[in-house]
Amino acid sequence: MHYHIDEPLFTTIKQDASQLRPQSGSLYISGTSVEERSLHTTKWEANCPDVVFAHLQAQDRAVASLLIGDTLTTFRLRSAKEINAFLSNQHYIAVYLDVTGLPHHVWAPLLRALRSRSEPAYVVYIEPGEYRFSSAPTEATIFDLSESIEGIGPLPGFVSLSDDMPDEALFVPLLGFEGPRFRFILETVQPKRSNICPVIGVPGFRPEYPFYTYLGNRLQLEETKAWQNVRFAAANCPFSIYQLLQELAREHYSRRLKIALIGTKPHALGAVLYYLDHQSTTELVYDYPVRKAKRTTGISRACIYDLSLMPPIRIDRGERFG
Amino acid sequence: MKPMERFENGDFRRGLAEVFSGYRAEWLGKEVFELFTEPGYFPQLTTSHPCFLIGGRGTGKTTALRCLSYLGQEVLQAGTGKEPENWPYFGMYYRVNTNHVRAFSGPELSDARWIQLFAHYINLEFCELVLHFLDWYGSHHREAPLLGSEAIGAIGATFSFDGIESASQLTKQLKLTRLRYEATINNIADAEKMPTLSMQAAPIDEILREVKLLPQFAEKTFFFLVDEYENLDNQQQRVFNTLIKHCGSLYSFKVGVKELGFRERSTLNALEQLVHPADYKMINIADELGGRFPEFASRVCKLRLERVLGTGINVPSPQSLFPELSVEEESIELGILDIIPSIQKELNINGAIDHDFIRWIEQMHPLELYTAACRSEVEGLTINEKLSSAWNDLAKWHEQYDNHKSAYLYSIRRNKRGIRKYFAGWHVFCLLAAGNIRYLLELVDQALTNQLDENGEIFGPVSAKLQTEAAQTTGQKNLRELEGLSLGGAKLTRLLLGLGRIFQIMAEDPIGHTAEVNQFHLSADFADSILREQVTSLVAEGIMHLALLRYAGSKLQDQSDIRQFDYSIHPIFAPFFGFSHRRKRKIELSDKQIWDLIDSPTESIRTILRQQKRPVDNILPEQLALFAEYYALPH
Repeated sequence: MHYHIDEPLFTTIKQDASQLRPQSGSLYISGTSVEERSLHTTKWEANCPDVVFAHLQAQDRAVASLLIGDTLTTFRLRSAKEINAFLSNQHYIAVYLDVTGLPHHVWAPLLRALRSRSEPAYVVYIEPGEYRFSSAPTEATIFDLSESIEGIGPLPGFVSLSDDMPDEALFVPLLGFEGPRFRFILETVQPKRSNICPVIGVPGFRPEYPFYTYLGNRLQLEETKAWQNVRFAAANCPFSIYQLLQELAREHYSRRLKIALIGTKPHALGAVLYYLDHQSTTELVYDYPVRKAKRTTGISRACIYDLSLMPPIRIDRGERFG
Repeated sequence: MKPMERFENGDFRRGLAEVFSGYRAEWLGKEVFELFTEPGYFPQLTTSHPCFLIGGRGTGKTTALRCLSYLGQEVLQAGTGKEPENWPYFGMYYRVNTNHVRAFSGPELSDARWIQLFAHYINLEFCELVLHFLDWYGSHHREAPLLGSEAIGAIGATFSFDGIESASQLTKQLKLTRLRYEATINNIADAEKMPTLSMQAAPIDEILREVKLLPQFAEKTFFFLVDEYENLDNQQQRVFNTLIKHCGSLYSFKVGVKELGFRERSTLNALEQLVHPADYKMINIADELGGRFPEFASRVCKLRLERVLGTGINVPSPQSLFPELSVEEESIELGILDIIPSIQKELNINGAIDHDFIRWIEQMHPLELYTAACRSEVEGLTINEKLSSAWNDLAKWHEQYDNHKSAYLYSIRRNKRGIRKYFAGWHVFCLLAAGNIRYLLELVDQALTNQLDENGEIFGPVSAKLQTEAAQTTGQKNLRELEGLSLGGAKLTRLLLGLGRIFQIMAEDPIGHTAEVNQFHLSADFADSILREQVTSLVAEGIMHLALLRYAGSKLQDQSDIRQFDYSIHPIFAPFFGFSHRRKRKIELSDKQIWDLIDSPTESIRTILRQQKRPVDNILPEQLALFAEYYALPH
């Protein structure tokens, strides 16, 4: 991975997540999941009386409901209008989207709306203390992370119906620890072996994590021979993955990128940001995993990604393909 | 120099990996056509009648459909010198993309509205397929007449396009329409009024009507080759069923679908059904190949080996590469000679006066003597008494020996380390694959690789030990993969681990029990409806992803009632667990027992074994050690 001087990194890391303080007058959107780290705001919310907190109360594949104070706001995830109406409810100095406890299909449509708005936007992600080891570990399931998967489907608002030459697409799985998820996505997408370019988070949240990623996905990497094409991007950096995807697009000029979101959330975030800038040449693939309770424990560092420093979203008319 | 010496092991290994481990059609790209071996059912696919090609993963559906496509035919016909203008048909391949079709559902719209949107999307997709085909044909025959402006205009009109006169304008307009359409679907909740939609099938009918008016296509048949039909939801299957029902003479459909994936038979007209055989032909790959599978598989393997070695080399037949063991030979390999002394100790023939009887016993194969000892235990006789009674009615004894000898093989190395049962021979490999060409290629690849690793040989016969280890590895690999194959993959893996262990323990303890039990059927007892639903959907998923095979039970009346079928674990897993790969006898299991194998395996396995009067203290075979944690899960 090369970093260029004109590709700055916009991440601030706080070693202690409880030190996080959104700007006064801002909106902070978060959700509570089965993981302890998603509750981190409860420790410092009271110290920020000038911040409006919106907590996810309920969601399904189509609808999300957020609670601000005593007011419940519901919007449909395939409605840019309703999401924008929610964000325009009052004027905010900035908007923070804490993706830690929000499922992909909720934060991704919100992110899309934020990228087309003028107020500064930040994404917050809290790294876990520990991942829970499986009580019956096998090579492919070292950690006990997902209960099951609901199946492949587009994130709301992110379907790409253009797929002129499906055999030629470059398949970019952003790998996590769970080999069965990689297997399932491979079965569904069915890329040509030579067109698979997996990405592993290096450096990982912890030094040993990339090795677990290799181990968990070993069978598939070996069988498809995709281990030969593995690329790396920092596990907690969406901008690194964005830049890597740009590199891949340059290297494979005429190919569509199919990106599978089965790795870290910051990687998924980077892929969604990339998609928003390159819609006509990119497809996102997601398998809707059902997270296991207590899949992680503890709260580690807080990463704050400043989206306002990114160039404004540009209209992509498929110029890469001419 | 011997021909074989021309190959360094490294070259051979790489070649082997390329053509054998690339057993998936989608991995091979254009090579899939070069490696194509025509299965017996293929000619049926080339008729103009719509067909459903049904088979599990790895049975060759995708390969067959891709080879029917014009791109496949381009490669396949290259050697024959037959130019496209002389081909009788042109197929256009279309794989149902789950990531796309899932977008056409949700609470934002009614089902009826989604059906209209989906039908429009299919119109766009199929018209683009036809335009791609025309581009391809034009690149081969530049002189061939093209669609005129009037024809293009008529096709455009079905999409409400104005002023379209050329194919390139039509292509551009379709691309633009698709992008706009994508934006509409992405914000479907905002759509106050629907975009202009084309009518179900109208553009497809129109474009192919115009194409068939061109002289070069007047007598041709056009197929849409739809792969992975199971990825469509039921409403979407109705859209396709309508197309199939009413496709007429302009075009036809060849559909690839997994078993149980063709869920919906009705069309968009609720009163109208897709009827077999009037509307479509059903080709079940396993049934069609049936007894011809070994011959088909042999041709597939030979072609691949020729590809590794090049021409001019006499490629050995799979039968000679993978020799079989007779049951008697196998018993020797399993170490029956170590058991015989203890039987002989019990045996007292010194007092016998019939010299023929003594000679018969002395010449008896050790397995026969062992079988007699086992039978004596069952019948409450001494070994002497058993042998005397056998001698008195040899015909009856020979029948008894033939009936039991295979089952008793499993008990020779019970609870011992190492291989407890051999799985060797081309015929056995074909039975393990059960009509699945991908499984067979995996077995061959693994066995030849084992041979190379062990002694560097390329074409010597592979030993029974190496064949067995290859079969175990292949079973284990597929078991581990199962978790990622389907939504309920983790549950299926646990179900197989439980059932496999039960059948393995029962196989190793055959004396006094029904021999070779390796099937089950579901009891008809009332279970709570939620549990029943869970088990039904799990078993259906097992069938779809080849974890299980099903067979019509003796009283089969209703194809959709899973309780009327018998089930077995797919035989590819038999060597890994160590039970018979041959379809034999069955036990009855309740919904609760099935589910408990997933939730509390240790206790459930014990309960089922107790019911079957088998011990529960069998030592876990080495190959199952990888899953030791599962078998030790608390209950």
